[in-house]
Amino acid sequence: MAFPKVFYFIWGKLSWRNVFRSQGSAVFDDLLVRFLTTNSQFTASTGRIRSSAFLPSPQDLKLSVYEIIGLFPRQIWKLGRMYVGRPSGRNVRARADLSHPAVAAAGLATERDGSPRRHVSITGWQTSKEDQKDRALVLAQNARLVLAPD
Amino acid sequence: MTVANFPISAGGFFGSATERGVSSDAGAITKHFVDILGAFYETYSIQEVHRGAHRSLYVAVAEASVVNWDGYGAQPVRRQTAANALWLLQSLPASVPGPDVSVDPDGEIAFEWQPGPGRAFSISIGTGDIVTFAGLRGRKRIRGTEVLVDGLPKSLLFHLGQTLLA
Repeated sequence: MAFPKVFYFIWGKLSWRNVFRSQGSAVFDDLLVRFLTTNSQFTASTGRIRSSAFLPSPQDLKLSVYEIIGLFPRQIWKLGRMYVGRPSGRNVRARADLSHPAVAAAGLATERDGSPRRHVSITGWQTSKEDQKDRALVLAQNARLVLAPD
Repeated sequence: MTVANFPISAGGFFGSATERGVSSDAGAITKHFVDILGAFYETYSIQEVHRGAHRSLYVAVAEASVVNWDGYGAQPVRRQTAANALWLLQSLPASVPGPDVSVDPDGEIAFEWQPGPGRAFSISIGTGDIVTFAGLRGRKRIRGTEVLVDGLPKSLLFHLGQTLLA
């Protein structure tokens, strides 16, 4: 192999781009994720997520999600384990990816509070359960299921 | 496998047109017919058609039996809620596909159907006799509450049928 080819081969292997590729692609869309800890919240075979996974907390009427822009997949799962799985003593089994337009389509808004890090609250929920279910159905229809790695 | 198909809007088995006669004989025949269908429904529907949903109900209740089961501070399922959910599941006509079962953050149990993209229907039941529902049919959205007095309200079955058949 001629020297230039050897040089470019080694350079290509060592480049940052390939280091990044080995970890999966970073997320550059402005996505929000809801981490799921029970199997009854989704169906892995069909990719469906139940609307109950998107209902707000009855205590403060906020839906807790995390912003994942610029994170690699393993960093996203680490975020879920740290702030959702570990405090509840459960495994994070999957995540539901949501876009900001999907939140707006449900007539809801986002509030970045940064506590914990990258935490975002989806707000604008009414107190009536029927209204909450209606909006949660819209979120569920627009969400994408991603299963946690084994 | 052969599955009996009864119209949802007619209330499943028990809504079949058998009550046109007014004589005592007609009444006896109707009662006999309903008894036969009722026994069939008990043995066939509950044990076969919605078996998957029954299993999912038990799994969902087991998963959500403690405080903060979802990692976001959710309430656990109460015993009465589970009993009501079981009753609701058994009240579903055999012609309705088995629902997906999950638990809401307030501890209520949700039954959900997602027959296709842009179509979904969800019913939540708690400790009382009120159910909350919401549905999507394309751009059309429905929602409301119903009181469970004597079986599933026909309006609920109507909305569910519209979602499944749209």
